[in-house]
Parts: sequence; C-alpha cells; structure tokens
Amino acid sequence: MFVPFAQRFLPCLIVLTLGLLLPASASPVRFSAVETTYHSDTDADVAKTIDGIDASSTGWSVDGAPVEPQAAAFRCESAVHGGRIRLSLCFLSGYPGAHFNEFAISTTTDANPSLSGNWEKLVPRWFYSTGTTLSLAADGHLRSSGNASNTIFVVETPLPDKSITGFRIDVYPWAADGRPEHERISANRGSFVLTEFRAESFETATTNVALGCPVVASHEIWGSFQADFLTDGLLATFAHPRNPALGKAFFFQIDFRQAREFDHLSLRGRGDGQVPERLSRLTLELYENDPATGCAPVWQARHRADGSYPPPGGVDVIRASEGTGHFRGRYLRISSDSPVAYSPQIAEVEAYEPILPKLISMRADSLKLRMGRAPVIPAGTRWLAAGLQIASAHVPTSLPMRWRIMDALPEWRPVSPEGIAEEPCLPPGKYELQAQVGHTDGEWNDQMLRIPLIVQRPAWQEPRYQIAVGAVAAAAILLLVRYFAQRRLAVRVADLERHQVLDEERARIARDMHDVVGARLTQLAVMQEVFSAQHPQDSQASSDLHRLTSTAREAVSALDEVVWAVNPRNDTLQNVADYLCHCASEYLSPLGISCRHQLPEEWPARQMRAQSRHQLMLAFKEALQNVAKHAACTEATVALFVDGSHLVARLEDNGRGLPADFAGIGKDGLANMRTRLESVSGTCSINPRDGGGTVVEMRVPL
Amino acid sequence: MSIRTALIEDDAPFAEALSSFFRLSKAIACDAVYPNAEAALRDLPRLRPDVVLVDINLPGMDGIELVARLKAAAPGVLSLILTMYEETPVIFDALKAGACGYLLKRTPPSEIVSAIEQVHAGGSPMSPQIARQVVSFFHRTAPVSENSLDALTDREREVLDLLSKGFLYKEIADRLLVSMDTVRSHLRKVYEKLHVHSRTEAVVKYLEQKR
Repeated sequence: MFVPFAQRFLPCLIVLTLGLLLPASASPVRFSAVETTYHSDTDADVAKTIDGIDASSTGWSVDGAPVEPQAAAFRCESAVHGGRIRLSLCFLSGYPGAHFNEFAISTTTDANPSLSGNWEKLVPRWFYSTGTTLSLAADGHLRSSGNASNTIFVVETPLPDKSITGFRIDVYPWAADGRPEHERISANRGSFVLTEFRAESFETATTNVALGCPVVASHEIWGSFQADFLTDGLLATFAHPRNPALGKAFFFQIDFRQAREFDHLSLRGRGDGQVPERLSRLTLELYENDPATGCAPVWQARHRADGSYPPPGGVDVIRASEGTGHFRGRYLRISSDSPVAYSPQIAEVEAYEPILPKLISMRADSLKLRMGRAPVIPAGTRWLAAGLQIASAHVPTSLPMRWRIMDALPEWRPVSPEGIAEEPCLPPGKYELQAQVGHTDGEWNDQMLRIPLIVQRPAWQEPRYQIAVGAVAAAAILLLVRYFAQRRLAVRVADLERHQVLDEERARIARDMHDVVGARLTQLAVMQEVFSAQHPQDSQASSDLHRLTSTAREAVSALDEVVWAVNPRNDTLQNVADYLCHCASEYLSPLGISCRHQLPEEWPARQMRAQSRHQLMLAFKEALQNVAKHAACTEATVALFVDGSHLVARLEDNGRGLPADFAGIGKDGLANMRTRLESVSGTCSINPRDGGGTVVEMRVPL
Repeated sequence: MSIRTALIEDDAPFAEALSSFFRLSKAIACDAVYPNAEAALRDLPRLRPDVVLVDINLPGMDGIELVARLKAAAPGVLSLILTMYEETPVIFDALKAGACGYLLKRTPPSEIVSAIEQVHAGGSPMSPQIARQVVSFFHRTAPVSENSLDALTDREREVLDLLSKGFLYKEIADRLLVSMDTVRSHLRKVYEKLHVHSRTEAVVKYLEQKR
C-alpha cells in the first residue's frame, strides 16, 4: 500500500498541471436519464442525482445491500467528444459514511446507453476526495478510505476520441482492512446516497496525444513510482527501473491507444536537478502493433547516442528526421544502453501529431478570390488577406499559427487569433504562402501548409498580352494602311474620273462657245467684208471697220486656243508639236520671218494634260511675241523634243541677240513665261545663241 | 468664167454671210447651199460644181464621210474642208477621204476666195503639219504598196520634207529651182496618191469605224 504521489503533492500538482496544460474553460455535461440496478427510493429521488443541485437528502440511495455490486448509467443529453472530463460524485446527504468504498467509471458510445449496453472502463488519471482518501487500484478501480458525513469524489481523465453518449458508475464491495468479511459497498454498512453526479468537459488544451496514455515497463519500477508517471502530464513525477543495471533490457512502453502519425516526440528528464545523466543513449522505437507479438518497429531512432543528456528542466524534441522509417505507430518503446545506473529516468513523454492549417479564404483588397490550387491575385491588388484555420479536428482552437511568403517575406509572422494573415500585396510574380501551427509545447509543426500564389502582372506587362497588342497594332496599322491606300486609290480614281468628266465638260463648253460665239464672230468678219464691198467708205471708216473685224478674228483665234488646249483629243505630243509649229508659222510668216520646224519623226506615246498644254502654248506665244518685237531676225526655228520626262520646246532666232538691257525689255515677258510654266512645274530659260540671236527653252514635265 | 461652188454648212447665218460675199466676188459663183450632207449628196452628182466647201461638223452624216462619198458619186468635184478648228488628225482624215485642202472658217473671206481659185487651178494648199502626217502616212503604207505609181517620187518626198520643216511654197520653189506651180502640182499628186491609198484602206476602215 503506498500513498499516491499525486495526493501528497496535490497543491503543487495543480500548479504544474496548469503550467503544462493550457487553461481551458469547462462546459457542463447534462444528463437526460438515470438507470440503476437498484435504488431504495423512488425514481424521482434517483432523478435528483442529475438535477444540478449537489446537496440533497435523497438521490441514488441504496439501503441495506452491503455486498452486492451496484451500478447506475447516466445518459448524456448530447454526446461528449474527446477532451478531458471532470466527474464529481457528491455524497452530500449528511449521512455519515454514505459513500462508495470502491467504484469504477465507464463510458459508452451506444446510441441508447443502458446498463446492458457496451461499456468501456476509464482509468482515471487524477482524482481526489474532499473527505476521504482515494486511491487507484491495479484494475483501475478507485477506493476510498475513511469515513465522512459529506464528501465529494472528483475524478479527472482524458476522454478517448469518440462520441461518448453515457457514463456509468459501478460500485463494488471493499474493505480497507482487507478482510473479506468486512467488505461493504459503502462505509455506512452498505448504504449510500449519491446526491449528485456532475460532469464537466474540457476542450483538450494540449496537442500532446500521449497525455494519459497507459504506460508499462518491462521490469519493476523504482519505489512507489509508476510507469504511468511518464504520461501523467506532471513534470514532478518520474520513473526509472528498480534494477540499476538492466541496461538495454529495460524499456518503457507507451500505448497511444491507436496508431498515430507524429510530428514530434518530446522527452523530459527529472526536473529537480538530481542525476539528470540518467536520460542518455536512448533507443526509441515505434510499433504499429503490439511489440510483444515480435513485429518489427516501423520507426526507430538513437537519441543522445553520444552520452549527453538534457539539462534539468530541459526538453528533448525528437523529430522524424532523427530516426529511420515511417514516423508513426501505436506503441512507443524507450530503452537505454547508457552505463549510468538506473537509466532511463524519464519524467514525461509527450507525443504530438501533425497539425496543419488550411487556407479557407483569400481576399485581394475587397475581392474574394476563388480558392483553386493556386490563388491568382489580380494585378494592382494593394492588400492581401488570407483566412487560415486549423485543419485537424479535436485540437485546441487557440493554437497559434504563423505564416510567411517565400521568397518575398521569409520572416515568419503571426496569424491573428481570428485566423487572418494579411500584408500589403507583393510585386507581380510567383510565390508560396506557407503556414504552420504551433503545438502546445511551443514547438512548431514541421509539416506546413504550402500554397502557390500568383500575383498577376498588369496586363500590359504580360508578354502574351504585349505580343497580342503588337499583333493587333500591326494588324490595325496594316488595315489602316490598306484602308488609306484603297481610299487614296479610290480618291485618285475618283479624281481621275472627275478630271476626265471635268475635261470633257470643259471641252464641251469651250466647243459650244466656240461654235456659237466663234461662228457669230466669224460671220461678223465676213459681213464686214460684204458691207465694205457693198458700201464704199472713206479710208478712215474703212480702217476702223477693218480693226473691228480684226478684233473679232482675234477673239475667234483666242477661243480656238482655249478649245485646242482643253480638247482631250489634243493631249498627244504629236498634236502639241503640230499646234505649236502651226502657231509659230502663222505668227511669224506674215512678219517675213521664215519659220523652221525641227521635230522627231515619231513621238513617244506620252500625254500632256490640258493645263500643261495651255500654259506651254501661252508661254510659247509670249516667246513668239518677243521674237517678233525684239529680235529683228529673218529666221526662227522651233525645235520640239522629249528629254527624259520633259517636253522641251526651244525657239531660236538669228536676230540681234539679247539686248544689254535685256532685263528691262524682256523682263515682263520672261516673268510671264516663267510664271506660266512654273504653274505646271515647268521651267524657262533665255540664253544667247551661238552665232548670234537668242534661244528660249521651255521645259514642261509630262 | 467664175468657179462654180457649193457650200455645205449647217450654220445658216454663217453660210448666208459667206454666200453673200461670194455673190459680190466675180471669181466665185455660189450655186447652192446645203444645211446637211444628205441633201448635198442627193443634189451634187447632178449639179456637179467645180468646188465644194464642206464643214466637218454636220448634223447626221459628217463632212469627212460626205467627201469620201462625193469622191465616188461625183468624181472630179474638188472638195475643200471648211473647219472651225485646227485639228490636224481630223483634217488629215478629211484629206485621206478625198479633200484637196482645208480652210479655217476664220480665214478672211478674200483669202477663202483665193484658196478656191488655187485649188481650181490645180494647186493643193498643204500646211507643214499636214505634210508631216503625209510623210508619216506614206512611210507606213508605201512598203506594202505594190503599185509603184502609188508610191511617192523622190521629188514629191523632197517637197513634203521641206514643207514639213516649215518652208513656204516660195521657199521650196527657190530651193528646188522650180516654179511655185510645180510645187503645187507635186502636192496635188501627193493628194491624189493619198486618196488612192485612202480609198483602198484607210477611208474604208474609217467609214466602217464610223458606222
């Protein structure tokens, strides 16, 4: 018989427990029904055990059943899942000794819990009584020594990861003196009154899954220590083999109750600073199945093989990479081949499953992004916010998270308690959002969330956009060029058509004018001759009349010129040449000046526009006038030929040449000729002729 | 003995003025005035004037066609083209069709009279431009001509050549040491040869084109 360690150090245990386990709020578990194997009072009295009032004169009463085991089943209003449970058994009826001598707690996952259902015993981890002394028997039953009028048994234990629908209390006869004839179910001659059964559940405040798991040792443990101390969550309790020199043969074995994946394992040595060197040269092995069956470990590691050991209060964190194999399993065996006696000495073994965050939302400014494999953040986003949540169920919701963006923001930054990670948006590029969850022991989970992120380049920076824009621009330019080319062509065609129509129209008008006006003027000239012949006049009248006729003829001649110039039929070089020669002969011959023509036999099939023809003809006539007025010549030569893209008209005379004051005399005429020819992009030059005389050369582009 | 003349002219006032002038002149007797080619072609073979003055632009049948038809219907009647315009191609077409020369309407009436007298005397007024066309025409057609009579003589070529260079009849006569009448008669022969060629090819073609 030993006094439980836990009881002796109760006050400091609570402090230490709180230090290890994060504080969590309790939520009461309500019961809807009670069933008992037997009760002395009414059903209504039994129902008082779950009425929420601790003290009562009645409840589940058993009177005069000293040695018969009894049981009561409590149905939960709603299932309790995981976490820790604190059960309070109140015996506050005032009757002395009306409390259990020995009892056990069981749980069920049956949909309709009943005494005949399936029950699984809980092994309580922490327990105390306010009036008696509770102790844990090897079979997991709790025994109460002492006698109190009013007492409360408090039992606290982790719950398995199952939906617990009901609790059961089994009451057994027991005698503190060990004498079978004294065995009773209660200290009061076999009668008890359970005035209240109260349950409070606590959210698991730790991610240490080893907490509360059964531990066995291969050999005897020193003194009153227990193997379970390794998973009791209490740093002050520790265990080591009783035999100082078992070496490798000794091991602790923790049963995690189910096969689990691990992020890391933690080992803590004795916290009081005494012989810390007993935690060294360890071998850790994880087994999928009970190692007793001889199966091979799935993972094993040598830890502190160099003989070193953690300092007092230190913790050794062991990760997958320290060993070989798959870092998972249900059973963990820890042994040591250290030469230090009483190795291994361990205060606590903790095991942590991988916990990952998950990305639940993403916002770019006010835009909620679609959650694909790689969220795409639109170009121009200024603020980025990610909503993160812990992916695993049944872990403390308050676990810390941190995040970073590789490679832009390599420093870890905390995720807000609301699960928000936010930052000013990054420049365009590809990144990776990483996030980790922190375990309750302060270690960050190795495995992390990795989400590729793409911050879009502004569209105009995208190469394919640039190519597209380039192509579109090129196409547009091409289309524009084509459009304008076609338009220009169309305009030119229209222009030509208009010109042709205009030319024809001009020719028609000129011809009509010529036909009508010219005919009348011609008639006038003839009539003057007739008149003169019929009516003889004095010389003055005759001369005046003759001048009138001459004027009429000049008018016809001028009309003739216009008609010639605008008549489209005259746009051949042959016609131009013929006409100019004709003009020269007609003008110069009456003045007694011989006129010579120098023309090519054949003319190229080139055309000369009406405007050019007209200006050339007028300039040519101007030249003829100059010859007639100033040259005092006997012979003039008209030479016409094509020089490149120009028609050249040259008028030579054998006269007295350019006068000294040529600039004065010929100025107006030359200026007129130049102006006329320049209006059709032509030129005019006047030079002395070899052997005397003058050469006037006119060039008009074709 | 005045030269018997007919006038084919659709411009009635001008025809009236010109015929009035002819009546005053003793050299010319204006026998008839026709306002269109059709009427003239009906009468003229019977009337048989010495010279006809033909306007090119006539309503209906034009002056060139009339000249060509008169050549066949009334051989020996000399045709002179009377035109408003100095349009060499048109005039040359008329000459090929059988005209012996051309006159511009604005020519003073007294000069028209002298031109008629010259034509009647066997002369053929020809401008340098027309001469060039004639040279060019024979240059193109002569090689295919088998009848040597139809080809131009050297003298004729010489005259045409000088004429085309702007020499006046008198200057040509002086150069060639012949009289002006000889020059004229050379040119008349040139006209006749032009007509022969024209009848066989050009005019027919021209008339076909006109239809």
